[in-house]
Parts: sequence; structure tokens; C-alpha cells
Amino acid sequence: MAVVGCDWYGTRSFSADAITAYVVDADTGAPIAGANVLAMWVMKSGLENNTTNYAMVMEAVTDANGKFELPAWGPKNVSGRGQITALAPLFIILKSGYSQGRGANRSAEPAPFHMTSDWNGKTFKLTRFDGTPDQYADYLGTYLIGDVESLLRNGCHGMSFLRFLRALDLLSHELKARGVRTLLADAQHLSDSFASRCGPIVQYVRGAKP
Amino acid sequence: MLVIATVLPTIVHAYEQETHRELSRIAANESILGGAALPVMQDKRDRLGLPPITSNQDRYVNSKGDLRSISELIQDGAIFEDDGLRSLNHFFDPRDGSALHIDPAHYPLAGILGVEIGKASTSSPDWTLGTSAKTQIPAQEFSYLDLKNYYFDALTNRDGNKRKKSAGRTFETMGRIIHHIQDMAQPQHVRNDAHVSDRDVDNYCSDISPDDQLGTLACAAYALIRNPSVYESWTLDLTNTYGQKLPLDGYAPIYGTDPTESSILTLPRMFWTNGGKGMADFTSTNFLSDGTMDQSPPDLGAPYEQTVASLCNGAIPACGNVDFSRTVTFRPSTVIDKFRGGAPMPNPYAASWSIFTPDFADYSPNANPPWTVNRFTFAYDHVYLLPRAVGYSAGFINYFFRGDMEITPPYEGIYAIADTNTQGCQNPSACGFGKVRMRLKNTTPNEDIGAGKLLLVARYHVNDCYEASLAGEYGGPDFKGNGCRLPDEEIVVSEQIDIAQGDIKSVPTLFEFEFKNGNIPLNSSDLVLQAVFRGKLGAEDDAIVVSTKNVSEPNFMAALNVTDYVYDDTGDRQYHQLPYKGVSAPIYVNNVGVGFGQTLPGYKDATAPMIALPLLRAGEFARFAFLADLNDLTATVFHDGISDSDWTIQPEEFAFDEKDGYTRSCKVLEGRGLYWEYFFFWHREVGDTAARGMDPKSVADGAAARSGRLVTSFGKRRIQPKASHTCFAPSGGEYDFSGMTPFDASQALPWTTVNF
Repeated sequence: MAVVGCDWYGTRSFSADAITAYVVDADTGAPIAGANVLAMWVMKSGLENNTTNYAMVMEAVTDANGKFELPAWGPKNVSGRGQITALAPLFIILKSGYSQGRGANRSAEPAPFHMTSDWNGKTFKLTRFDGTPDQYADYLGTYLIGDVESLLRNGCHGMSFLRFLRALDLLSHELKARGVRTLLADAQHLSDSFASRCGPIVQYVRGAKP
Repeated sequence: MLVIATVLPTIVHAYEQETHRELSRIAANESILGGAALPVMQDKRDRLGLPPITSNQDRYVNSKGDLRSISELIQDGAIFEDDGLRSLNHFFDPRDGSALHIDPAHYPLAGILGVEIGKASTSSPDWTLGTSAKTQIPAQEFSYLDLKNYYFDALTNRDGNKRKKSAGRTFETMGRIIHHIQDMAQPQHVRNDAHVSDRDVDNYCSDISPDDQLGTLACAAYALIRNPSVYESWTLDLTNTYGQKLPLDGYAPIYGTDPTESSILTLPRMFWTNGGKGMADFTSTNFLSDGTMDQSPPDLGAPYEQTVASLCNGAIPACGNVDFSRTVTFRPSTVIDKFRGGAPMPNPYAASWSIFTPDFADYSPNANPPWTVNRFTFAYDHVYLLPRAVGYSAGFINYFFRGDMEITPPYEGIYAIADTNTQGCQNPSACGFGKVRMRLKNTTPNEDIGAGKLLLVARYHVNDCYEASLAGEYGGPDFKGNGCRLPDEEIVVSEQIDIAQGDIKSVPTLFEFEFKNGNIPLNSSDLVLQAVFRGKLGAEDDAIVVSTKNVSEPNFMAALNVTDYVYDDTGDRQYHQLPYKGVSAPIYVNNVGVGFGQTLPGYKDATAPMIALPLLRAGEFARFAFLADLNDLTATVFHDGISDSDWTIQPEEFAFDEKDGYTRSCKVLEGRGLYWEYFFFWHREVGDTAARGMDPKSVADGAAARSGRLVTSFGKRRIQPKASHTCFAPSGGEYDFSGMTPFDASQALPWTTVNF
């Protein structure tokens, strides 16, 4: 019990290099402007490798050349449960009409105290989604919502990716307007879901530029 | 204690959170709750009375305070089940029924760990089903037994807040339980392969101070047994990191549309193990795991080689820094599905021997590894295991909700009848329906309903604008649309009926429910009746069977005597005060009553009144309410010892609809200061001179015969079947009571006889 009773989780200091990367259409190679990029330094914990928090959450939007930049951060003290996974940062890229983009590091556990991204200087290739609007909503519900909810559930990081949430909100309403029956959580739904722990974030999301 | 505190939380892994979330989301969609695309499942879901599982309007709070839809609650439960120490209880070896334990052959510290973990852990089915007498670590609040209690409470607790809380727990618990079904589709969980790692312990041990001698010792012990599950992290990474779609489709939900399957897994434990047909049976006997490569079954075929180049060609994610000229040795096996049968299926990559890391990102040219598993064996595991994880999970949901009953009205066609006179019951709930009669039929495939208890629940939203005059009904001047509908659903629950084996039969059988703790109020809308049985169903001793029927809302029928006026059918076609053109006396109508009958073949019209009063004087009225199906009914009016011709009516709905708002099928009509739905009235015409002489006439049907002296007219409003909510409403002429002295709602006569 002595082990549990002491500073079991400890406090560690992490930092990360700046990241510049690009997003293009997988078929044409054309740069994709206005894609929302979410970068997460996920912390996993416990018996089942559960996500328990995020050491850092950042977002960016690609410019006309498809380029996005994330600044360096740290040193930042991280305390409490969990380990930053060696995959960090995990990227998720959202652009209406496209399949999501994802990327992460492939290196040994645990993450070093000073982190770099394998994707720095690289290009994400997004493919156009080939399916019905209902299938698109279902697809995004499958691959996106879990991460978005996890960011709200584990540490209430909504304020760190308002533009991404706004883009998702607009996409949800766009799909609904097209008659999609599959529920794709919009900002109101997400805000209501986690209001007890995160407050009414919808007002901030709706005020954000996508 | 040091060792236990340090090492106990380090033993277990399952599919990771996001994998469980997705498996559960799909399982819920494909289960009876989601209704899938099959009409038969849609009908069954309707009888459960549950809202769409992704409905924004029907969200409940989970155990962590989040407001979630049914689908989200199931997903949350699947995620939360891995919290804390719960996953100690996520193991089950169907060969011997054991929980997680440490095999001395695998771990140096087995002598200590085996004993302590054996004390702490409970097998997955015992933990989930709440059948272990052992003290649960941690405390178990989400067992199958808890699920039934939550569900029953969500159905029957009159406290709306508690009911909602229990609804949230119901679906969260379902998510937690199907998490276990999914764990049984992970080979390490069913072959007692304790895959050891814990990130918090990793964290602690990675930065331990040399001065912490006790901790250093514990970390040394931990290092000996640390063995994280590559299978699970790889499964997660495929979707979470690389955006790949897991093969989740292809195994139809158990307890779906094939009725023969319901005779195979007849008890919840059988979803784990049942002579080779449970989920754990399938996984344990057909697949290898990292720590059990030497454990048969499955039987392996002869080794063969495959080039890395062919394996890695087009692989996602791409193989890493590896030598493509090398070969990998595999051993095949066959996969046997004892539940659904069929020919053995090939698994070309049951086991592998290679110098490459499991993800083929790297390799050690001079390594001499043992037979093991890697990303290519995992891919075949996924093909067979993940669709079954979904199919069995959906099947467990279907199993829990499998009980089915059919509700039909009694022979007379109505479920309930109530006097609406306001004497002694100004509060509409006090003068509502105190008794409901219905016929129930067991429609559960292949299973009898045995002994238990039966309740009837009426669920409704109050129309807060209701007035005894009906001015607050749809179409009345005091009706304020959606604002009239109280947002919170309310319920009343009948007295419990003790059911013996065979009482609920496979043919419709009449039951009578009494509401002694609150009637179904007259101002209820969005009303559904829900029969709830708890007791023996098939082989299961304690099951819950629910059947829900959307019935009409309280429909109001009135009898009016307006012979205190006379209708000038030969002159100005208006009513006049007596005396007028030789008519000076009103007419009293004796023995007024109404009976009902169904319009279906084999049914007869009422031969006696169901509700009656001895005398209706001129200028008097009486009104009653009834509940019925939404099908046509035959109403028969009795008076003066005779029964009148049939009157086909179509009971009305009064409910909230997202498109139309809070509306009723028809608007109420004003007459003599009150508002009416169905009404029949006696009036007198100038040409009527004799005191009596009955010749019923149905104005609504356009009958013109008027040979008698006293005319009995039926005013009826009904939905035109092809005109969607436009109602037939005679007006003017003999229906125009505008010149008459207004009625007062409080003057409604009481009905003296209710034969129901």
C-alpha cells in the first residue's frame, strides 16, 4: 500500500517541437485549403490503457497551399494519471466531402520527454468520400466522434479545438439539411452531453470561425 | 500487500476503449434496439416502447453525469467497464470455468500472484451475471441482475427523476455487459493468457527514485511479468491511428430473425459458454494467443513460408524498416462455428514464426523467436472474431429484450371507460380511468411465460390546459399548443397481478388491472399502455417482458338533451325557446346508455349498454371518456329500452409530433358553451307532436329519413381515412346550438351504471 499512497503518478515535464505539414487531395495532389487539423498528445492510463487525459491539444486550419503549422510547446509539467503514448501527437484531419485523415508516430513506448512528430514536413493525403450522405455521417460517427467525445470526457478540452468543433457542427447541419437520418453529433448535442463537467461549450463553438 | 498493491492492477487488457465503443455502437444498431432494417425487428422494438436509440429528445444521465442517448449510453458502458480494477473480472476460461489466474509455468511470481489474484478476481460470467458468492472487487453495480432491477425501475417507478436515472443505468449496464461478450472474443481473455501491463505502473517505475527501496523491489517484480497485449493495441491502432475499418459486419445478430436460434442460448451464461456454442467457446478453441501458443485446440497444420514482400505489398499501415527478401513461417488452422454450423473455415495465419516485430515495423536479423502472433495473424483473428463480437453482443441485447406479448382490447373494443362528471373530481386525475381491461397473448418465440408478477403502466404527458368544459383541448379557445403539454412524462402503475405458470397463454387472455394509487388521468396525452411482466420466461427464472400499445388518448363522448328548445325544420331552420309553433313541452329520455363493439369480423355490436343513466331531462347532458385502439369502433346508443343503429367511430390521438406539434386528430366543437368530441343529442322539431316515437337518424351518414316524431340525431366527428386529419364535423342547422342557454361543465350528470 505504500506504493499506492505515495506520489504514484508523479509530475513530469514534457515539450514538443513545432510541426509543419501539408494536406492534399489523394487523387489530384492539389492542396486542400480550410481543412481542420487536430493534434492530440494522448495520455493513457491503467489496466486497460484507457485514455484519461491529454497532455496537449492543438488545432490548425490549412492555408491555400494546404499547409498547417503547430507551434512548439513546453516544457510543460504534466501530473496525474497516465503516460503520453509514443504515438503522440495523433492527428485527425477533417474536411467536408473527404474521408478523415489520420496520422501518428510509430516509435517505442513510452514517449520521450521531448517529442517530435514523424509527420513534420510530411503530407497527409485525403481521399474523397465515395458514398451517400447517410454513409458519410455514419463514417464520421464511427471514426471521429469517439475522439471528440474523449477530448470532452477526459479533461474538457473543448476550448482547445473550437474551430474543429465548429467545422463538425457545420458539417452535421449540412448533412441534416441534405436529409441524412443518421445522427452526427452537432455542437449542441455535444455540449448538452458533457455540460455537467464542461459547461455549455456550444456558445463558444458557435462563435468560433471554422 | 506491497506486491498485491503494485501488481494486481497490472494483469489485464481487453479490446481497448475505442474498439469497445465501436463494437457496441454497431451491436446496438443491429440489435432490436436499433431495429436494423428488418420490419419484424421494428415491430418488436415498437412493442418495447423505446425511443430511437439516437434520439436527441430521449437522453438520460450516465453514471458519470453525462446526458446521453440510448446508443451513447451503451457505448459509454462499454468504455466505463474497463475503469479501475473491474477488468480483473474480465477473464473466463471455458475449459474449466476459471477466472483470471496466474499459471506458475509462465510467471516467476506465480506462487504469490496466483493465490492473490485468485482471491481477487471473479470470472467474467459470474461477475457479469452477479452469480458469484464471492465479495466483489470492486463492488459490482452493473451486473445482469442490476440490469433487470434498473430496467424494471425505469419502467415502473412513479418518481420521474428516479425513473430517468434507472433508464440511464439500464443502457449503460447493457453496454458494460456486452463489453464482456466482446472480451470473450479476445483470445487472451478466454485462454487465461494474462497479458500484463499497466501504464500507471509503467509510469511509476520509469521514474522511480533509488531511495524508494520498496518501490524498486515492486517494480523489479513487475518487470518480470510485464507483457502488454500487442493484439489489442494493434486492433486499436488500425482504426484510431491509421483510420482503417475493422471487419465488423457479417455475423447476423443472434436472437434476430431466425427463431430456431432462440432455443440454443436460452440462458444468459450460454452467451459465454454452451457446449462450444458460446462466444468464449468459439474464441478459446479456434484461436491462439501470445502466451498460449502451445495450447491446443486449435490444431495447427504444417508450417509453410510466405515472403515478406508478398505480405507487405499494399499493407496498411505500411511495413517499416524490414528486409522484403525474407520469409515468414506460418501454420494454418481451421475455424469451426458450432453455433451456426457450416463447413470449417480456413485460417491460413493461425501462428507465425518470424524475426520481425509484430507490427512489421522493424526486425532483428539474428533473432530466434518462438512461435507467436503478429499483425497478419491478427488480421484473420479480426475477420472471424470481430463480427462475432458484434453478433453476440447484439444477440445479448436481443436476448434481454426477447420477451414479447401482444396486447389487444377486450371483446368490447375499449380498454377503459370513465365518467367525466366533475362532482367530486375537479382534479382530472381523480376522475380518470381506474380500471383497464385488455387481452394479453404470449408471442415470445419458443418460450413460455411462467410464474411471476404482472403490472400495467400507463405513460403519458399531461395536457395542462385541460378543463372540464374541454375548452383546453385541441381546437378549444384555451388550448395553447405545445405550451400545454407538460414536458416530463408521467406514469401510473396498476396493482400487481400474481401470475401462475400458464396464465399468460399463446392465445389472447383477458386481464383486468386496477389503479388504486392514481387513475389514468382524463388530461393525459401521448398515452401508451405498457404491460410489464417480471418472472419466469423459458428457462430464465427472472426475466422482464414488456409490451407497449399506443392507444387512443381519452376520447370524450356526450349525450345531450336539447328538447328544451325546438328546431324549426320547416321555417328558419333554427332552434327556438318553448313554446314555439305549438310545441310547448320538452321531452325526457329514459335509460340512456352506450355500448361498444369492434368492427372486426366475428365481433358483434353491443347488446347492452356499458355505461348508462336512468333519465336525461331536457337541458341536461352527461359525458364519459374511453380508451380504445386507434382502429374503428362501433358505438351503440341505448335509450328507452331500445338499441340504436351502429355508429362507427374512429378514436382520436392527441400527441406531440415534431412536425405537427401538439395536436389532436380533430378539433373540439363548441356547443351550448361547452366543447365536444363525440356527442349524440336528442332534439325536437316543429313537426314532432307525439311525446315518443323513436326513429334514429344518423346525420353524419346523411340519412334523411325523418318519419318519426322524435328524432335522435348522432353528431359524430371522424377522420376521413384518406384526408389526413380533416374531420367530418356537421355544423349549422340542427347542430347550431348558439342561441341556447349555455351548459355549465359542472352540471354534467353522473352516469349511474358502468358495466365494465
